[in-house]
Amino acid sequence: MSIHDQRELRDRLGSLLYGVEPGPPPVVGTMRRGREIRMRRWISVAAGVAVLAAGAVVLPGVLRAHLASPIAPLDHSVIVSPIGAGARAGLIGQGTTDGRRWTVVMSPQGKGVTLTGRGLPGAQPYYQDIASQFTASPAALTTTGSGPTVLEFGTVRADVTHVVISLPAGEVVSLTPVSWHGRSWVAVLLPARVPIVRAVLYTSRGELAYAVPFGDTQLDVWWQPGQVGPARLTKSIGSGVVDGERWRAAADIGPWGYCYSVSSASTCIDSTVSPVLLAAGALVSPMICGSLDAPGAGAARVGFGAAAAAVRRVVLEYSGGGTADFSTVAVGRGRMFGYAIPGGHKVAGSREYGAAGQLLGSTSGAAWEC
Amino acid sequence: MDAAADAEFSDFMHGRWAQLVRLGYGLTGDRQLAEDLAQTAFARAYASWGRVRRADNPDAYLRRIVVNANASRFRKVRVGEVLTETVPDLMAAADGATRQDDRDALVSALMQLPYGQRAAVVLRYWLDLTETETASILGCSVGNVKSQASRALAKLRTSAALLEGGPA
Repeated sequence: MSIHDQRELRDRLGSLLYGVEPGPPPVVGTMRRGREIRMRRWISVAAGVAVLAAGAVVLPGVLRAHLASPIAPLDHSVIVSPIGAGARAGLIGQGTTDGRRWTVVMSPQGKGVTLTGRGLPGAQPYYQDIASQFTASPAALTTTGSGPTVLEFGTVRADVTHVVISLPAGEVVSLTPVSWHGRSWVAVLLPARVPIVRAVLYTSRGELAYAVPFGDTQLDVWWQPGQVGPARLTKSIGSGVVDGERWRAAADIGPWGYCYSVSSASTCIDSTVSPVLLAAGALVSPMICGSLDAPGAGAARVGFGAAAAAVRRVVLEYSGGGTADFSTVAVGRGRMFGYAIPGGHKVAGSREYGAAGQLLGSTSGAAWEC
Repeated sequence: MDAAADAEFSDFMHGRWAQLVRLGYGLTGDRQLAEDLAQTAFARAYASWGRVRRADNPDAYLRRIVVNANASRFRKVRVGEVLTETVPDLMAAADGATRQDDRDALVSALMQLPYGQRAAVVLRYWLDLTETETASILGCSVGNVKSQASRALAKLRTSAALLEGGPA
């Protein structure tokens, strides 16, 4: 059959498109995306006003020209190429980003995988502990690399057919998982300056889960369609100076999940409900600590922990002598605190105090192993 | 935005969701992508709801977003796209294999059209928009719409997919 006239085309298009029965409209999720778009516009406008105001003083001609111009073209490109059935084993992604071709190839190594390829950021081979890929989440994605591009890769649940990553300006990048060593893998190289707006996992039955990044690219917590993440809260949970370098710790809660940052490092709790971070019966639970990534910081380490509701102050006793006080801050259902350990020291133990300054108890140094 | 405006937006979205997804499907041949495009359009409408609800033709606004968002995606992925004989994501055949084959053939033929021609066909012959309305959404002249639609029809008349895929 061929199409000979417009009426026939109308009939056939009608038959085709009215045969598509979409699911119910995702109203709640759409409103959330709309609010995010509005928020980004406000931020852009605020930043733009500041930049334009500064530019107007010295470059009025440029300013006028800029304002008169139409919508700026995109300054980046991400092309994901399909992987054919005959592709080499371990090839989980390929494409071109900002005009540079890239490939991502996995190889088994010990308890993990190494990742090599062409055009990838950072030193290679990149090693990933495979255990971190086995979580209850429908996806376990990792962001790596610093410089003009970042690599987003990891595993998704076996029934995921597409991963759709939304970038600003309504662009979407669609990834098709590749099966390798019994898991479904995806990989894409993104321009570091382009933040992910949202990522959605689809199965053949429709949307499975979505994630909003913490920062620009960190996708840690996957919400069910229609499920709304916690209200936004950014709160300092500690700051100070250790070995002459400033450090700060903060809780960042929002549609990306429950995340904490200490200086330049951050982590998100793999939970879609307000997590209980305090170990049963404990007054304090140190969560994560690591080197203070700052010039001149030497071997100083920083971290954050959870404290019981009654604890207002944590005093660390260092192995080389000396103590330091760290205040706890109410976050969600519990209290959190940041702390620092000077280079060359360990934590010999801690004492916890209540609101009235009373000693509530102490914790051994073993709990503070870092 | 207050609760009344949210409720108004919800009604607006419920009333137009299916049509916008179908428009996206006509442009992409991919239902999941179609739903994502439609959601993108509604999210942008929500972000500017005050303006959109007062617009003379909010439907045209939504359609323009879907068409342009997909065009943007298309510019980026077309180099890597491989046209296959079978389209992976078709709706279930509710009314028999023959009709399903017919639909498969039409989707395949549509996907082989250049994007501008495909958009012109879907807007003109499925949504029954006028040439002026189509030109407004595509951001081109009426003459351009006429030529795009005409070329598309000529290609569809001789489409191998339609000749082979449809019923005898």
